[in-house]
Amino acid sequence: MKTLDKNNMENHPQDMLLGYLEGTLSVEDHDMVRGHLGQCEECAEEIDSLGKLAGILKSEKHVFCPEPWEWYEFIENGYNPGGRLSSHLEICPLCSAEIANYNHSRTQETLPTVIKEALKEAYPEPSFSKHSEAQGRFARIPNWFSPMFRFPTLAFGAALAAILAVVLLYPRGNGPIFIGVSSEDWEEAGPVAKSALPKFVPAQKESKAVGGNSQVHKYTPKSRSVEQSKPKVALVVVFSGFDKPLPQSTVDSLYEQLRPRADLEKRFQFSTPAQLKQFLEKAVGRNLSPTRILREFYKESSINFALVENVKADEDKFGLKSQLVDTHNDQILAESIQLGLSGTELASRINDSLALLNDVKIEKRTK
Amino acid sequence: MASINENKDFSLVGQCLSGSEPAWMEFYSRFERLVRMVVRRRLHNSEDAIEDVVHDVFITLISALKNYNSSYSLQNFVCTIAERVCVDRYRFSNASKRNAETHSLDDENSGVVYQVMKSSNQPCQEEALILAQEAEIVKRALRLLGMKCRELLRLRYYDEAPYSKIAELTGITENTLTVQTSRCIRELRNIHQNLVKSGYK
Repeated sequence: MKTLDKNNMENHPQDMLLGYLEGTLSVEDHDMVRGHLGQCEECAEEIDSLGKLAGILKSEKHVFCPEPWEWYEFIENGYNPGGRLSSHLEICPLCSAEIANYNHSRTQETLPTVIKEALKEAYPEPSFSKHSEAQGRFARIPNWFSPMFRFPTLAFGAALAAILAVVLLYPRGNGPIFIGVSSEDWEEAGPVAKSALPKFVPAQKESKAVGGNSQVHKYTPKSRSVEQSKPKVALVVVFSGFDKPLPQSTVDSLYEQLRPRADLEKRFQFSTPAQLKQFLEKAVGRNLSPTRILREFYKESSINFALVENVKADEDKFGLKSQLVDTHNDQILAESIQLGLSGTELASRINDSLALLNDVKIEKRTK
Repeated sequence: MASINENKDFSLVGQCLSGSEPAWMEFYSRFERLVRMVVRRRLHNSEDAIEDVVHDVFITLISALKNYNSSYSLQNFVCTIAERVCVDRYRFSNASKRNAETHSLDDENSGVVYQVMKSSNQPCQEEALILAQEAEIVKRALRLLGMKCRELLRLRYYDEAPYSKIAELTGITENTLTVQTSRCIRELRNIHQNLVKSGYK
């Protein structure tokens, strides 16, 4: 260990302060540090803060332990990054006891009375699971969305939706999940493009689609080289909690809300709903989960990011969870959640969610 | 894909917010043991007292769930609320104690004297609260510390191993270890200070 020059106050014994505190220095070094501390305010403050910190490390041993939510994930979902939690468990009696407690304690079969009473107070008319009312909800959905069709552009967009569009249904543990599919290709997207591009002819689109010409539904870039340098984004609507597929017009109108604005088109290349539909048509019969299907779509279409709109039936209302996902590692880059939305609000929030693309430095990540 | 897998939480929160009792039952079943773990860590109280606080946490969640931001996991949100309720408990307990002590100035009966004496033997609640908050920041700082330093500090302060034993385990000389430990603690202190400056609580 280095020795201290008593006469040089600029030579602070920083590496010896902890040893001084813990009494591990030689008598000579101990005396020298003590002498220095008497004259050096900076080191006196330093030793104070180090002592406080060392004290916490000694007395609050749980600072070395994983968080309770991590243990929850470990027990319930096998979360164990790099074996960190299992290794900690082997050496930590505190955590071992916690885990044993967690595993041995049993949750009551019913809600405790105090919690029930609090619930009654918060929700004077408690609602119970109303999946049986789903039929009525479906009947109301077209009416909720109908105001959108008063706008000529939206009505035009909806009219473009091809008859062939489908909604795929895959049963899952938590109720069916639908991947919303539409033939929207946003050909006339963006304020500039709207006037510049020729009007879409539905008959032509339909005939090509039937003929299986894959070029028809492809997003037509303005300049291929520029487009290819941009990150590619998929916009997907997923439904859950509904008992049967939604009317196609509803799905189309939601995708219409995702039509990329001109400012986003400058930064990103978008895959169109029609491209997703085309992929799904090929995937029918392969018995893949929605997750797998979307992953494969991202891979095949070289999608870098996906903006996934999870629409959830929530009693008489809708819930919306919008997530911007990095498709290479499934990492969620940005997210928003809204509950208790009416049909009109849902459409509006889906449109707003495009702003998630602004919040993330996507170009940098792509490089 | 995470977005679909997390639909379960999303769905449960939505149903709870609509007041569905079965949904709250499911919510309670899923998180009751987790909440108990947080409360036990924080309060070190008797099981009866812990039960009481666990109920308080769920009652708080009834009104707090609407603020759930799905940027974080639902279990993380539940833990945060549980910790807040524990902090409130500290404060409430501290305030009650102060009131009791103030009352004792006007009342000289033996019961009150006993109460004051009893409290003097317990760690001051205010101090306990400050220490708990401080420990949270240290915990966060430890996460940001390099792995080597973290391991060294763990051996030294968690296992309370003497330098001679750490030297044996790591093959590093005792002198080097004391210097390294000192540097690691200083680094931890710097991270800690930065967290405090940035408003981390």
